[in-house]
Amino acid sequence: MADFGTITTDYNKGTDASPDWTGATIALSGTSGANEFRMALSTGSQTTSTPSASWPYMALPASGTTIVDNLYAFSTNTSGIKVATYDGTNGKARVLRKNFSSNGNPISAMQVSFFADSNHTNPSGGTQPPTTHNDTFTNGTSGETSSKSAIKGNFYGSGLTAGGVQETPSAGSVGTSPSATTGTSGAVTTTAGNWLNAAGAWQDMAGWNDYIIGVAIPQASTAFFWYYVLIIYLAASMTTQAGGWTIVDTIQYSYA
Amino acid sequence: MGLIDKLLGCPLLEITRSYWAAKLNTGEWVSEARFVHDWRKGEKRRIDWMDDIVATGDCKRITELWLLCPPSGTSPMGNTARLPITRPGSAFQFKVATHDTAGIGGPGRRTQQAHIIGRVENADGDCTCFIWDPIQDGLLTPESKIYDTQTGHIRVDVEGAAIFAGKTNVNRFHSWRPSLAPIGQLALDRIGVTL
Repeated sequence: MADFGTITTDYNKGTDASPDWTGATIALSGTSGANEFRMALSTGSQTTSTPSASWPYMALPASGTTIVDNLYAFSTNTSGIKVATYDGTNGKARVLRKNFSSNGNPISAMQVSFFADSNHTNPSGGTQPPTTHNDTFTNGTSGETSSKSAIKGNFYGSGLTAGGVQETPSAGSVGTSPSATTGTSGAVTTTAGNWLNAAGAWQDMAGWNDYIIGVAIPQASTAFFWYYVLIIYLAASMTTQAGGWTIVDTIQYSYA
Repeated sequence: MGLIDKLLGCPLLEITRSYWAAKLNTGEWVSEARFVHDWRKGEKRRIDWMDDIVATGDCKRITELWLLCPPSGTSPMGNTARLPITRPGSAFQFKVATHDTAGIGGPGRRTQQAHIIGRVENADGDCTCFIWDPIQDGLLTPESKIYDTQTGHIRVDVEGAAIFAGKTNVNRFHSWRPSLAPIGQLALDRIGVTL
């Protein structure tokens, strides 16, 4: 097969210095509470067995912004593991990674961003409440996030170089700490063997309005990991959403 | 049995996805819909562009490249597209996909966004393509104009000329709808193209 057999998302349940990626990798599906990442606040009542339907709401700040400081990976509705190195800061490098199987033949650089859902409708920057196929986070707010997405991302190289070298970050801080308004219109290309902008500014993840492109086309027929880090903001003028916030992170790729 | 049935192993009406097929200068036809026994991997698999066309050098022996498309809302009988190939190493095909992870609560899904056959026209990489687009539920051709979904106007270049979905460049392959990011530089060696 020229397409990847599997693309899953691994998460670190160890420390930044001694990562442990052995938690059940998050596969496609996301139905009935299984195979999904869930945001939370450290002050919340969530546990690693809280079902999706009972997952606690996150309170919006009275003014300005706050940070989503907890992230959980649930392989089944009631079997979760806390992503130990996700704390909503740029202080840790080994947090999340995309896990590509060995049977793909990519023929263009990979593009990555966040959307409201699999329709991939581009966000409407600053619009609250969001309309159909848009969402609170990727739209951002016209005030606190300056119409940039509330989700900031940073990816390390291309994961795998065209020559087949796995790119793995060292432990430690990731680039320049972003703010709620951080983001560049259009695409930002990653830096080979480094974090975005040579360990500089992050990018906001706003559909194909603002997104990230890998700097190289990964070698064919080789398994690899593409490491990344997220910081997610809550803003006072975000609107709440019945049924909770449901967004997807999307990789676009081409293969022959 | 007609040519299309022979290439697919069934009538066009019965397929549910697109397939490429190529005619070589030996007169032989090669079709993605057919299977081959891979002795190296010890398995039966579909004919593969990289393994069976690029790796064998057959990419330089193609004289016709076809795209066989399933029935759709815009074409209930299915579609076929044909590109004559006169310069060796100018034919290519690839697919575009998206992978959505249940990124923080949503449903995960893998979606084939497009299947493209193309022919490079010159050393600059300009190319002519046919695009099977399952999202738009139809076949886009070198004459298909691109419409702005918000304004309804056709997309034009800096000189005001219409941009066509099937006219682009392998060094900066474009997007023809907002829900797809520009594809960018293609790995020419992996798709079998020589400029």
